[in-house]
Amino acid sequence: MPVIIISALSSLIFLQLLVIRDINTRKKKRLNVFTTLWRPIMMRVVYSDKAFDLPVLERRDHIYFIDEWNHIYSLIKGKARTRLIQIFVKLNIEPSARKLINKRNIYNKLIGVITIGNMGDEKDWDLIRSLTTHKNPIISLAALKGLIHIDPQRAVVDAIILISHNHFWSTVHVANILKEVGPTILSKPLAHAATQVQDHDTPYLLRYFNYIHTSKATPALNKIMHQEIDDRVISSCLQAMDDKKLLHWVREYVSYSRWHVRMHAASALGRMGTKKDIKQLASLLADDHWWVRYRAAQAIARLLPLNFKELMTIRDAQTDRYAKDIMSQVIFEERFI
Amino acid sequence: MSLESLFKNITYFFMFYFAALYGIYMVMNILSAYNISRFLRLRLFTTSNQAFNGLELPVSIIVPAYNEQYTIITTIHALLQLNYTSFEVIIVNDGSKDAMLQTIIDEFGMVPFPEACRVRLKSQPIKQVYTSTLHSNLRLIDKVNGGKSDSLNAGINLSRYPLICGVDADSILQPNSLRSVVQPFLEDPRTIAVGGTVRIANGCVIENGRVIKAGLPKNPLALFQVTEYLRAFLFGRVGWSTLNSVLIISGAFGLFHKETIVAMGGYSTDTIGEDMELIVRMHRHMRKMGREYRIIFLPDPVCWTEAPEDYKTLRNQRIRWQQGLAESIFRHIGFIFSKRGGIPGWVAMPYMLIFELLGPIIEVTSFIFVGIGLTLGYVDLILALAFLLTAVGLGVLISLIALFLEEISFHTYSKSRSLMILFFCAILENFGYRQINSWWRLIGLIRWLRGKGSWGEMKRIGAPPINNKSN
Repeated sequence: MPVIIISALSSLIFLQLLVIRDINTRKKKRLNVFTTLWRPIMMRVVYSDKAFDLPVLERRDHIYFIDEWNHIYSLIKGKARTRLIQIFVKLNIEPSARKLINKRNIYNKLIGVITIGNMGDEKDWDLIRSLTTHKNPIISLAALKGLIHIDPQRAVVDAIILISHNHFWSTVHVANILKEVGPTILSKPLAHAATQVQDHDTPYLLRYFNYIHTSKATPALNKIMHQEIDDRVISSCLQAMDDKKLLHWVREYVSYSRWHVRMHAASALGRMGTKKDIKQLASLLADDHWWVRYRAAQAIARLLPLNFKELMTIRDAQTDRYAKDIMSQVIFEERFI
Repeated sequence: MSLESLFKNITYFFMFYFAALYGIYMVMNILSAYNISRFLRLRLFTTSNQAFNGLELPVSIIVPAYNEQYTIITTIHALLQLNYTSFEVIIVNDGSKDAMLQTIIDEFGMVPFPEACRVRLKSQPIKQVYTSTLHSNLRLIDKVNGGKSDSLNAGINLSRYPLICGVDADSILQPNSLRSVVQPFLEDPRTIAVGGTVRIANGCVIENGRVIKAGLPKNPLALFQVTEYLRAFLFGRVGWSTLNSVLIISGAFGLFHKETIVAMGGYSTDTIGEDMELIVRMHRHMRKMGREYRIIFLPDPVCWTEAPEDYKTLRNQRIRWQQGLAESIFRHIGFIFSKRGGIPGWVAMPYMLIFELLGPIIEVTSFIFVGIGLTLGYVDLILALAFLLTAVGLGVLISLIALFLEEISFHTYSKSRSLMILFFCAILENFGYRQINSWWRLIGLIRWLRGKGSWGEMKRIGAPPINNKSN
């Protein structure tokens, strides 16, 4: 009896395995047929002003279409996107996408948010905006991206507030979204917001300062540095600085008490400093912290590019063993790596 | 109580034990199925929306190596070709006696490098650091022999990046593996460790250190290990990951937040199960500090490893694993039911203790006991068959469910013939292979109690095994 039970259950699982394999193979085939037919059509429509007759799209292929449409959307820009949206409207797939957005299943919801966002229709603003606070960061980030597609100018203000509060959002994803906005739209609101938010939120905005114009970043950084700020904000500001007008701030913090501030000051001096700063940097070569010593040595090497004679003179002038060691390492890196 | 009823009651206890074990497996299965389906559906978005933009966390890959002259070159070449923006590779030669050091020096144009070493973790003395003149992100540490953990600690000292990735010298990584395991760190800053599913490389087509086509080995022992790994990784660890209670991230491939490891004092050098010990210590450390954290296990098959194909090597491997498990559990026995233990301390560790560590005692004893009882007539045939149904039959079902999970998720073995072979393997491994395994684990436990512990050597099949196409 037990043997019969085991055999029956095992056979049932095996049967299920075969059925699943068969279903998957059929799905794959259907997807292949769909892609072979529709991908060239979409590409043709996207790159041509001519009107095309579109074949009938079966209802069960809607989800394939939506996936393919979103994929092509992510690869193109400008007028091509407008034409792609026109196909979507013409085929009347919008209701299917709208249904997805209301689904509880997170994947369906995600596809719905991405699609409706990509449609860029102003009337969907409130719907998409409500999802930027969704507890799932993948949904909220997709919604943020959707807002940017609908109206970047308007969305950027919301986006900055959300970014400063959502510390768990992936920096990489946010950076990609802000890159899409571009410095022309992003610079002013981001620079302004960075000077207004609470201390603990400031670093979350400063990390995107390299996506904005220096003309906006410099005054904002200057203003923040004049405020009473904590060490983390100082470090973030030093990391974001890339304008000689701010050099006086960097020099001021080279001998600061916290090691991470000294480290970022050393790096900033390497980027923006002059040969006059070498003496100050050399004093950091004997710092207690390895990273401060390393960044100081790298900064010196950056200020004296390929000038190995002078670099070796600096190294030989060091009386501290650690200072000598770190200079030797960096000289070697500059020379051979 | 008569002898007959005593035998009966003890047999019922054994049946209850197996039912409980497979019941837990079933729960893990459900958790894992949920985790895998969510992972697969969202992966599309998380990876496609992550065009490299320079803000990814850079990774230091540390490869401890001892006498790996035949495999190390292919491994390094494969690592250097990983699809990721910013990473460095640090090879740690742990006092190898073969020609591994010179082989690396010659192949990658390594030259002595005046590294200003930053010692944060204790390790055996470093004799020399080399850097490659061909690949700016490759360094080689030549140090006095001190074991795998010691080498990892030395590598951490010299690493420059915030995430460290420990990789075995014979691991074969997928090109996107680093990208996959970094993802949880990007999505949730509370993440401190991520592991990925390890699969058996035997029988796969391997070219230039990469698995080009997944296949099944012809050797029956390796074949049984394919289903065994599916079970262990696909619903064992992935299931525990859903509860943030993973206790093992394989030493073959794992990604860690460096500062957390350094704050804990690095890898423990006096244990042979350093991978589990580290994770358990991480749980304890983070809970003691009262900090939120995530230790994640990805179902993605990111790493392939060579499985032993001969009886002796497999036996030694399993004995060592059991010794490592015993060490890790007893070192952290205070974590079990501790005030801040949470699910890891109240569920995962007791499970490990009862079912994984002490399990072999019950498993081996039960078969002997029921056998004797049946022979002497104290256990009737119906009861013996019922025992077999719970002890072996449920095991068959669990193995088949693992296969089912693999088929609906990653579908790694695409040939129908492979599916058939795996199906029969999943059944057959429960008739002998698993019982032998329990026996080896019991030996491991006894050896640990007697204080005998040492790392054996992996017998490689056909050196150099992963240089060119192989079957």
